[in-house]
Amino acid sequence: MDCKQCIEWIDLAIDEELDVQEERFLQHLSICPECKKEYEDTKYILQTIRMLPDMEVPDGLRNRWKSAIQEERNSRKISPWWRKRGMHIFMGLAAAAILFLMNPLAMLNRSDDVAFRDAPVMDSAVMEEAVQEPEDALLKEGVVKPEDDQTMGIMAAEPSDPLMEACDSAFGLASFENDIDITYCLNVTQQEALESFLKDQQLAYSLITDLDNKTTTLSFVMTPSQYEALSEWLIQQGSLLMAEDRAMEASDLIEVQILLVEE
Amino acid sequence: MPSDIELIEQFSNGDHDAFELLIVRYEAKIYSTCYYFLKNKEDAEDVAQEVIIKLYRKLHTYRKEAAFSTWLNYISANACRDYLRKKKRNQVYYLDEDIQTKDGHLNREIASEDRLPDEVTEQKELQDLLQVALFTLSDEHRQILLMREYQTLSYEEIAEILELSIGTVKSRIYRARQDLKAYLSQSEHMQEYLRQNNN
Repeated sequence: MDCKQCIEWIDLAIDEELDVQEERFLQHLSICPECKKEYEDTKYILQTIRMLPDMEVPDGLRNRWKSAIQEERNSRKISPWWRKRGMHIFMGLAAAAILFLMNPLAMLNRSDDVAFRDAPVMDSAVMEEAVQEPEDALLKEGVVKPEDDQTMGIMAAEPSDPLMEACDSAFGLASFENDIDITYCLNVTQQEALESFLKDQQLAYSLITDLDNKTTTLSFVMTPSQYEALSEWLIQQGSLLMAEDRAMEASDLIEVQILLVEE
Repeated sequence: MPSDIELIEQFSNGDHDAFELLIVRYEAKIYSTCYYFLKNKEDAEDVAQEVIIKLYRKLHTYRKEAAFSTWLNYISANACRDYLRKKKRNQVYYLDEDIQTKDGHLNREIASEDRLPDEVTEQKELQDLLQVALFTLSDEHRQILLMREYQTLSYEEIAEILELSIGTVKSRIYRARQDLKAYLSQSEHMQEYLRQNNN
């Protein structure tokens, strides 16, 4: 082995990626002080990066994140373990109600919008109640059983265990995009139907397939009214709502990702 | 003192104080990671907060096969990657990024806050030198080196976060290390440390 080859292998050796070559590599190091020095220097430098010290946490950071977490808790009033299908209906109602409360004209002006044209007319007081006291409102409607308060109840059938497990697993591995507001999970067999639905809504989407995890992720941006239609469609398809990452009223546009998994 | 896993289980049973205890344990690591990735303290504070909120929202997806700290590294790296991507798109520049000289002068912000001249040890000087060297690298090379060397993420994990093939990850790590070594080879201080190490 010559020095050029040895130098090329230094990184592999440090990452313990040398296989059958390791013996030759070590043998060369034992007779070549220059290569040995290069190897030791590289290792030393990289080890120092590993030991970079923790910085002093700035004053105020702890209060900031504690307040942010408190806001999260207040906005949810439910367990973070919310993966039931029933949440779709609550989210759909809340999105529509918030949009209406913020700007009723905006909704009226959307009279040509398919999602709203066909949506049932709702009394604003009822919608307000749904936003402020979602659990109570649903309880009054007899949709949620009191004992189900931990997960907002079940409005459709319980998700099958294989889908739930596949979704949980995919969700754990999914890329955490900062902008994503809502994550759903759907069986991959419904991919074609989903894409067809998105095309009907004239929504452009990106499609990323992760072969290792057998997951396809569809990502797109939509208006609250389009979200209303999507939410209803997803309920019909039996999808799972995995997470809602931002209060709806903060956004004009909603970024959604849908994980397509194999059960 | 409860373990990370015990705190996570307590949180999953509705104990929110357990989550706060867990984060207090890791907030310095989260903030430091963000700072090393982003080179800017204000950004680091913002992204550290984002990471903590992500943790709150997604802790239920944590699988206990890996250490919590590994999972945390993964989430922090993801958040920093997203921030750097956005920053690149929006072309935001900060004055405190233009900090380097050829032989390891720290930026004023770091020097004034983190160095106490009477107490500086060799180890601390060496770490400062490495920090400066890392800050001279491109965002691309700095983040992949931090993922690999500081966060000790695997090639596979890095490939997933950066959405690259394993081969690309390996070659990028190699180039980033070469850049880092090239910078440090110009530092007399560094050469002295390396001489000491070899003796």
